[in-house]
Amino acid sequence: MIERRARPRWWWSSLMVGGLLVVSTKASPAQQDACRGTALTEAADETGILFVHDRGETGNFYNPETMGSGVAWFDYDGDGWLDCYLVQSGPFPPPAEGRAAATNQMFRNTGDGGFEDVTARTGAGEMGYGQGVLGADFDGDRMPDIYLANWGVDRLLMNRGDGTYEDRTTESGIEVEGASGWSSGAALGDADRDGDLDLYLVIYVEHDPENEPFCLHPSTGERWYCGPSPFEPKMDIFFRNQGGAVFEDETLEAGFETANGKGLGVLFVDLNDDQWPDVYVANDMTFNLLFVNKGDGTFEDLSLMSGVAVSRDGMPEAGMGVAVGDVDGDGDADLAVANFDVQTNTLYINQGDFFFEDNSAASGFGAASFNYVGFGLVMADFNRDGNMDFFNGTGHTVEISPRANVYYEQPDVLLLGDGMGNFSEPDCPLPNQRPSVSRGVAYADYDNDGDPDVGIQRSGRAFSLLRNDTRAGSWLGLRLWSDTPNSEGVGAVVSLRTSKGVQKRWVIAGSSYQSSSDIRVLFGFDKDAKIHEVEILWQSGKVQQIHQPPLESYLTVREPL
Amino acid sequence: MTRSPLLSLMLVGFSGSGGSSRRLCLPLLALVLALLLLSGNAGAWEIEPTESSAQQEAAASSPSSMEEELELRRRMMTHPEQPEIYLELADIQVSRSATDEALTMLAGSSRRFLGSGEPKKAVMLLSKAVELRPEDPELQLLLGKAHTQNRDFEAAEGPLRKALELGSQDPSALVFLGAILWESGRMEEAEPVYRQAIEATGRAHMPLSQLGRLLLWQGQYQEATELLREAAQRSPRDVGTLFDLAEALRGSNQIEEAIATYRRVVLLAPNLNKAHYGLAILLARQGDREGSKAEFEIYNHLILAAEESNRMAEIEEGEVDRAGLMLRQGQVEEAIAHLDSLEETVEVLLAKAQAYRAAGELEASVESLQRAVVLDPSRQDVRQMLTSLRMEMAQSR
Repeated sequence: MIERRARPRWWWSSLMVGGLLVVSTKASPAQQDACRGTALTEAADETGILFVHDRGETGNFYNPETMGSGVAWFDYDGDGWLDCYLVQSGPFPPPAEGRAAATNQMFRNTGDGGFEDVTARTGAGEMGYGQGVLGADFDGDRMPDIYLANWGVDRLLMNRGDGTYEDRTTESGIEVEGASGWSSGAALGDADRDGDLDLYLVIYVEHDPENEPFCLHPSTGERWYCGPSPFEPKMDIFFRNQGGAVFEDETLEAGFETANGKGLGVLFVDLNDDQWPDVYVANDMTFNLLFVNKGDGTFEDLSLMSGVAVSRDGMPEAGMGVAVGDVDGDGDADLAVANFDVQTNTLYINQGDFFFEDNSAASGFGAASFNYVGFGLVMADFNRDGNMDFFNGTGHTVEISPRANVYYEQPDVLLLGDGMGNFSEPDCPLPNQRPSVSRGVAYADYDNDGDPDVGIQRSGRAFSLLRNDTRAGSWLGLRLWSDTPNSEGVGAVVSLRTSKGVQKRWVIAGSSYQSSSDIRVLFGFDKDAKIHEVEILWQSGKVQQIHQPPLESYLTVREPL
Repeated sequence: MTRSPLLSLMLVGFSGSGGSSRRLCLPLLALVLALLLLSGNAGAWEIEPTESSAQQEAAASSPSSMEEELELRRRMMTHPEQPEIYLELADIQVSRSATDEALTMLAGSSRRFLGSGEPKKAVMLLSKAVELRPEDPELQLLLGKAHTQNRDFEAAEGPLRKALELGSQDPSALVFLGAILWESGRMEEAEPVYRQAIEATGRAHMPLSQLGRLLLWQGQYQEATELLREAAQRSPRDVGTLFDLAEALRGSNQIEEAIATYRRVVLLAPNLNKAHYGLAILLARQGDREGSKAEFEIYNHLILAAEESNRMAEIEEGEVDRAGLMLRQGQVEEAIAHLDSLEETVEVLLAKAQAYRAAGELEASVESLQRAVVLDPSRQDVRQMLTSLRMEMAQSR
């Protein structure tokens, strides 16, 4: 079944009534050319998303104060417009009774280009020291729920379906020891393909503010924040869904006994086309982890053997954000990880059979991040040329970098792909963008105009929303809908066949750094490309084809019964 | 991704904490400096003043400046770690028109500071020296190297370029310039500088291996292979070059030769974990599961051991630093109490000696240093401190 969502009313009216104003704020065709089709504009203020992150700086150099927080895009009220959820942090350590003022905030997309703060109305303003967020449907009622990875007890807020949330942390079974420590991010996937979604929670390190390690700045000789080294790693947690978003900790039973790194990023994705989702975890200075699904919902650690644990020359890196997609057009999923400066970000090209080649050097992907500390990392087609691009939020962890000409505030990086696995920055800087201290990054087509916009959390600073106004190419969007508990089609692989080739997208819930992006599928392509068909391989194994789909709109596609 | 020039010289492989780049990699810089300073032209600034020559020199001055100079030289003996004394002495020497002596003293002392990993102090002295004689290419070069060791690449660039402009014949100026440009992320500028260095040195090992490494970093595997092969021929036991060659061969898909080169590296440096990794990866790709597994096990063992020892070392270092900060803030008793609560290691004992000295308890300070010598008799720096402290005590008596 296909339900076509019409272009929003404001879109037409903006052209007819406010056209001049809209045009004046968008990049000119010449600018777009220099930017190779991208046209990003800072839009947080004008859309009404007014949020300032509080890192809760105490002067005691608690490490969590450096980590920032996440952003999640999901349609909490089911009106077809993506809403924005922002995680708050400070003060640190969080008072036992919760903060007096600052909370996480929910911004409802009003569908006319703006947002309204509905935190109080929805009851979604959790008050722990926040880190990561995952917005997705945990229980199959088609209403996105919210998982909050906190320093302290994690929370699961369930969507009641009436526009409000209730805290179901206790009932969900996630209140285990590890989840009350320092978790950083979460991802969902149907690990055992039983129809409901299982949860992987990345835990950063053992942390006790009473025993914060002591480090001196090598240049100033004053106390500063320690890196990850003095901290002990802590086991991640795999929660198997027992149905209805009630979880059991099956970390060891499922084969994750080696998941003892300093975890910051995670995603579920099928890396070998066997339809069983695998798990990839980015760790900070310990091996990144690849857990291969054995085809029965249990996993085998192939991290080292596969080549995705460390850099090309065998060095563990400061893994933060993770992204997945087909960067070289060969139809399989490649992996990318954001790292510290000098290490550079890493691009692992899938060679098949769980062999990956670190191609960061030759592809141009790594060099662009040499002077930047990468956190949030997303992969999407920002200029609708049919090739996957990257957006990386950057910013140092400390105010005074130990390296000369490397600064605390850094510019975010947009890398455009050529479809063959090579990347370069456009000739124009990101518009209206000053260097900042970026952390969580997630994309969403919040204005439903067929291009990915980017939400960026800044540590101790105001949230940034980069609206994409590209005029390049054409597009096709899909919203998957299943009657199973996996209502949003997580784990599905969607292929678009055009006269210019085949594009593939993997439907994932949770990725980047502490964040979750638009779960819908968005394809961009040349205007002169002839569209043949879309094929959806659902997580259940069912295959669905849509011939000559209508373009420049979002289609809701229901999984066949 | 392949390391940058200074980082990649780390022969011990994984450093753990360095990975997050939240710590410096001074050992690497020291290694580079050792390699280059030794080969560099020490020039006219090698003679260091002795006490007797100092007395002769001072005799030519006025009685008051002579006394002042002698006093400064005495302080240099007891507090050789204080650069301010050298600067004061230089001023006096210049005031009596003995600028060459001042420069000799400043250059020699700065070289010692560089050797002991104290580049900031070297920068202080060399800045003074360059101020006295800005047209001297050797002093400019030395200042550039000191800034480099201090990881202040922006500050290093000027003196290095000035040294070249002034006609420095020392090829290490080009190699250092290439390295700081690379470290600053200016690879496209570093490449021609390295090429120039290769020509200037008659294709010496160092610039060949550095340019090879840069091209490897950029994914230009074919040319990197050629350069690194040549560098390896010039210095066949240089593990860093051989490792880079193995990586370049792997990148250019010359798998058999890459495997052979990795094997040679692990023979020369069995604890170089990243070589075991490269070998393991290639053996796995070749279908040699057993061989690959064995190499991965060695790699894993080495990495995890390094990670844990590094973690413990960093915690200990932090606690010693904590005591040091207390000392700087005048909390001497608290610092001693804090150090007493730590496990007794050489570093803890050194900090204790410093704390006792600050408290005026010289006997206790000596005792701490003696215990440190017992714990690690090979630590020459500790022995020197002990000798220096005993001299100080003898003088005060």
